[in-house]
Amino acid sequence: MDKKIKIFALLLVGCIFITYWNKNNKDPENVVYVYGWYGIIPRHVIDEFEKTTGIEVVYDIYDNNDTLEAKLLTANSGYDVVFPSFIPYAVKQLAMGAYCAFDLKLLPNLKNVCGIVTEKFELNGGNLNYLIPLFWGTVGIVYEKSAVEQALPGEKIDSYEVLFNPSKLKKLFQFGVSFPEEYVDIFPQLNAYMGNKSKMSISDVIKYCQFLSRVRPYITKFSSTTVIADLLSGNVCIAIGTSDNSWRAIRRARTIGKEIVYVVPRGAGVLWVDCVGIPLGSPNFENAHKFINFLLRPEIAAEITNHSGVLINVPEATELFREDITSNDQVCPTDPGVLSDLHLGQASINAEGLEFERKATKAWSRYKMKAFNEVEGG
Amino acid sequence: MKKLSKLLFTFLVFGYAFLYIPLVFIVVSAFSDSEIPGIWTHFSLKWFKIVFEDKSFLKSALSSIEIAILSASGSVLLGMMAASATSSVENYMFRNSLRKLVIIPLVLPEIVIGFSLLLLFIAMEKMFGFPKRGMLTVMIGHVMLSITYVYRNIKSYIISVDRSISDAAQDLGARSIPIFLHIKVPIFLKPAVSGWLLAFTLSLDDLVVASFLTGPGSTTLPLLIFSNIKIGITPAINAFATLFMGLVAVCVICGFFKSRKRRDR
Repeated sequence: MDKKIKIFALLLVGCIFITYWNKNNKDPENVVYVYGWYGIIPRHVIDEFEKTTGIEVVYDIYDNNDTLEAKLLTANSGYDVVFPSFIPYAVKQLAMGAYCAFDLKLLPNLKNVCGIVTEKFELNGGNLNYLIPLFWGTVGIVYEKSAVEQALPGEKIDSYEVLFNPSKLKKLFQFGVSFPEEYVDIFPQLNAYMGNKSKMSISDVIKYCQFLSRVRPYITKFSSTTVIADLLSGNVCIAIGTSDNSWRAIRRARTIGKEIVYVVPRGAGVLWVDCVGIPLGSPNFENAHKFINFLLRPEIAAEITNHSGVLINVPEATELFREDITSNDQVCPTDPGVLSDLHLGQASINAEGLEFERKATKAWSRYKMKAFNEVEGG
Repeated sequence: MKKLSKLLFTFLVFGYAFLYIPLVFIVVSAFSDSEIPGIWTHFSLKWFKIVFEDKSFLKSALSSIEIAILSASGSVLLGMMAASATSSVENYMFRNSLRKLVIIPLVLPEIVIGFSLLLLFIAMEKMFGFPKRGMLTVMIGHVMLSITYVYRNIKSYIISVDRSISDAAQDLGARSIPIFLHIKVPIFLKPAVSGWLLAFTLSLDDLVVASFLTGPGSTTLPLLIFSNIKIGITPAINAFATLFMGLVAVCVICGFFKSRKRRDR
């Protein structure tokens, strides 16, 4: 017995020793701590950065913006580079002072960031001194062609009417219908669809929930993350999805002989933007700039788009995109008219905006629970 | 061996089918060429290649295992102390309330544990500059998560062991530390090992607590897999799970042969 205890204790000490040896072996000066989504920046881009600069990249991942926000707002998150979604997250965090100002001398490639997306970013409370609108895409309708044709023969899908009209949705119900999990992914579209040009108020949100109450029985699922898997496996036939997810679904569906189509309804298209920023208290301030500057190189930027399908806001990179992205004008809109028609949601930075956000979240979760009469309270 | 009745045999088949059909499904689709898990096209090993090439899988698996080993050891140590201390308290009321207090983390939802620890660590970091969020904080969270299980395991064993052994040692003049080392530790070894394994598994599984407490450089395997969902899961996950299962199966088979050898002797 005694021998066993000794072996066990030795193993333990060994583990602890190895852990610390590992930690101390790293050069603490030459690291950059990146916190981002999984699968957006391909591994070979990171490898190339490490090779050219000699800086080690420690890449951690989060699965939603709330996790990131929880870490950012506590100060001293320990990360150097983060990729928050612009609306409603980054714009709020910016107002709360969660980001460092860039040292613009260290970011010569920032000049590559321009165009309509950048203009929209600045118009909606973005500030290029603190955040760079790096990734973008649209939100639209994604559907499996054969199933939708079977349910609604001859229907041309180019408007949200197909999702918001109960008699049409009823027919699609048997093949499955997925709506977004969070209110930010549905109300901007709805606002545009209803032709409301002004800012959304909470009474609008309640009105929209009432408007949607008749389609609620035909929604089989609320999810934003599993859209690809659901479409491919035939769990749902139509969903609201982002352009990058849809592009991946289209590509994968081809391998199993299915056809998936993505459309951005004209006039009700919504733009999403993910930024890159340096959180306050970043331990490797200079390396963070080097990393961001590297991502803004057109050839590297194009690599990211070609890997993940998210569009990168470096116009020079557009000609380097792969053919199946550039040829699909829904996934990769280039026409300035279409681009300027896209809506960028609405920012909630002040107390009033936060109140709106809270109430809208509540209204949407009540809607999901089919508690329509309670939607108004709150 | 006595022959199983037909009814029992059906129970057996159903029970094992329930456990193993999903696993078989995972393993089979790991070897498929298709990009979508669960759809068979033709045989291919490309997902295994991807797993080996993608360093992030290996890295997060290693940090998961590291966290699991250390947190399991920590919770065994603390659980053992707690169990031996509470069982030697004489006052019934006091002993009982101590025991109840150890059990409470068991009924707390993980999300509450994770969030309250996060708030504590933030406050501590502001006051003392310690601990920095990273592997250490995840480990502490996991110790808190699994200590109850270890405690229960050891405590139920203590009850079945005659207390007179340690009393006799005390009568013969042993101090409390030698008693702990030479009498209690050998007695506790068996439940401690099973508790350690349980804590190891719990820590390896945990997603919720870890998602609150991670810092730079400590993405655990469940976090990585969960984040994968956003861009659509590929059979690379299946391939990875297959490798993991293979490893576990090898360990179990080795253990089986070793214990059979001992029994034969």
